[in-house]
Amino acid sequence: MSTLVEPASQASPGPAKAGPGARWLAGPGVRYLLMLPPALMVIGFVVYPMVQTVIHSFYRLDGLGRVIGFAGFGNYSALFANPVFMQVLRNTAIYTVFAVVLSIALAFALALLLTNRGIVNRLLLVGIFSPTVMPTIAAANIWLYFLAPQFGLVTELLGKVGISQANILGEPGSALGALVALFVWKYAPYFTLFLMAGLQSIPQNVREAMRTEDPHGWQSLRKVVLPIMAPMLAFVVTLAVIYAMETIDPIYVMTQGGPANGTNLVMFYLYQLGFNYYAWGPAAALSALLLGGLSSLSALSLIALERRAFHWA
Amino acid sequence: MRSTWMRVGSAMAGLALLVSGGAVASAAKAPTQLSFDFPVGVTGPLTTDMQHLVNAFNKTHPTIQVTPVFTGSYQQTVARVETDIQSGTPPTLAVMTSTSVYDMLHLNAILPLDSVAAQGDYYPALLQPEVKGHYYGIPFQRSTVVLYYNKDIFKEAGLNPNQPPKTWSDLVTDAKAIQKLGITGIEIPTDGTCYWEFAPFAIEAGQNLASNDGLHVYFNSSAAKTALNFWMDLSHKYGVEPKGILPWATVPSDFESGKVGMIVHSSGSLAAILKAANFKVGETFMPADHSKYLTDLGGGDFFLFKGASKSQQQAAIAFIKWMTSPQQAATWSKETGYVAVTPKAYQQSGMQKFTAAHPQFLIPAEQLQYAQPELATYSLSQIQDTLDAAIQSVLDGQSQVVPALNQAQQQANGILANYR
Repeated sequence: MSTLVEPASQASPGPAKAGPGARWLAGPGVRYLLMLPPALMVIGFVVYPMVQTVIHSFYRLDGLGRVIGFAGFGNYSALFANPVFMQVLRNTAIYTVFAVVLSIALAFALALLLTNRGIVNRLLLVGIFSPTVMPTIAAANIWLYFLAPQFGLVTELLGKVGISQANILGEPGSALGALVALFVWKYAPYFTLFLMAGLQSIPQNVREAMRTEDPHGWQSLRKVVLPIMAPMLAFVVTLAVIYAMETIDPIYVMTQGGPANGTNLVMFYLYQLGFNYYAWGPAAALSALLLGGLSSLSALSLIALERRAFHWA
Repeated sequence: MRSTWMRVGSAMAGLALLVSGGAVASAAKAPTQLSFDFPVGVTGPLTTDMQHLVNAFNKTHPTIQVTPVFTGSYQQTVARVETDIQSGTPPTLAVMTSTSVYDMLHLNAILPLDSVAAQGDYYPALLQPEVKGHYYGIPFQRSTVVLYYNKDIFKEAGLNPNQPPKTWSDLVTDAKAIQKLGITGIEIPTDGTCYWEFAPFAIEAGQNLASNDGLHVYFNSSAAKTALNFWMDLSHKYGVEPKGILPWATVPSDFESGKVGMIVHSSGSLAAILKAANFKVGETFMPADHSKYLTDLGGGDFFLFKGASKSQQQAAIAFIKWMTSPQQAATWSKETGYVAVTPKAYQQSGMQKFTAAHPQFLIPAEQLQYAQPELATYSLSQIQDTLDAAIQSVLDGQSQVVPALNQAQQQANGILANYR
């Protein structure tokens, strides 16, 4: 290490008689020492369990999660042989597509509308941002009562327009729809903030040029705004996909995966596999798949973000 | 000088020894700490009621200090206990569904409580089934599936408020009469663990959902098919029940606010319903198909876990005995509507006065002679979810009764094959 030798000749105000070892301790040593607790935390609570989970996914585990034999790909094939898991995958795909597309479309529209700084816009922004800061558990409980059959707010409103006895959480399709709506309600405002930041990176003179050259805005949206926003959009889409795949708390509160597994998404199924079914082997296999899938998605999007980043030179 | 310091020092050391010795002595006298996990599966302020009971125990038992830990629903409690066992720190005592016994045995986690069961004067039905020659769960908050009905609505609909439906066809006739008032006839909760509300109908139609060895289920029996067809008919043929899935949590609210004439729910919800309803509440046996009034049991038992110290185990057994003694059983029953676990509870003078004023509280105990054990198997959550999903897919119109139940049976056989 060059840093060990380099300061040896200088007359620093530090401990004059100290040898190189002590100086290392005072310099980089302190840095490594300060790094140690968080590094240990990450290794102990993130890296180790991750590696352990992947290794476990190839072993047979008993009800307490102890290894009782080698399974090869047995846990993976057990997972895919289960019709419930196939339904869960289908649900998750449908949910993710709708949740991501709707929340980002709404966020983009809101970003375009709210990007001019005015007091009204600022207030509106604060207003629509409120669902984002609300804990999902609380929000889901509120929605549960909105949607309750017989006396829920939504049910009453639907009754006024002629849809009587609406039982939104009671049917798989509409229950999944309610979960999508909750996602959009909660995350669209959050994504709006990112997209507004992206829009603000367009310089003032470019914006003025766009206003005079293209009063309707369609051409500039297609040729200027979208290309500039592309990396930011890619980032937000990745974020949205990850959040959608991670959805579990509203399911836990509102539907418990029902009715008839209609709202059972991959994260909730993972919870069920482990904590309700004691099927730790398949649970480890599913965790490994999710880990691989989501981290490669993040990596891809980061690469895309780097490559396609737009710089005003 | 030096010797003075030394004397002071030795005096200090002696003092320290005395203090620490005193601490050790008082630690030996400190009460045995006992924390126990309990779930709440019905409506009402049960956590407060539980705290009152435990406080009374702690006051009368100075050598034991019990801390109740509220652990959510039954399913959440099982998940928590299982995680604790996995991490090597099992609870000493927990209330779990009596049906958890097979999975807890499979985890090698619980101890038999045969002597408590033998001495407790419990209703025999509540101790069933005996598992592998032992009694593991001691009945505590046990319930039955009952039918609640709104007497005022019955009167309004021209029905006799003291003559609730006795048979399935009575049920349909009465529900139709109520429906004519613009009020929903009947609601049976069908979300979550709906197998429980389904079981009385299947039992009534001729067969329980499972055997008593934890290894066999009868999801596609003709009885189960008859029962599910009847459920479908209630909403689709007779139009006396809303279509789709009805939530366990809001069905009592609908009943309390007079939006529905009859509901099927746990007897453990009685106290909360009585408190909230401003009409005369009737509670009765499940209507019969072949005039047998059969129902199934539910609710929670005390379980004692391996891994606790001898003194903790003894304290836990003392606590279980106290909690299920006639006096406490009567208190818990009055506050909740759960069956008092011993017939002696109903002979308590306070309880006799109470049941004279609220005869509804006697129904679950009278029902015990007709009650069958709740669906209990190995891999219980998964087996229950299989049946729940099958029932719900039929109610939602995604599949037909016969193929749905056949598929559930096939899946359950696949799961249970690992244990046979």
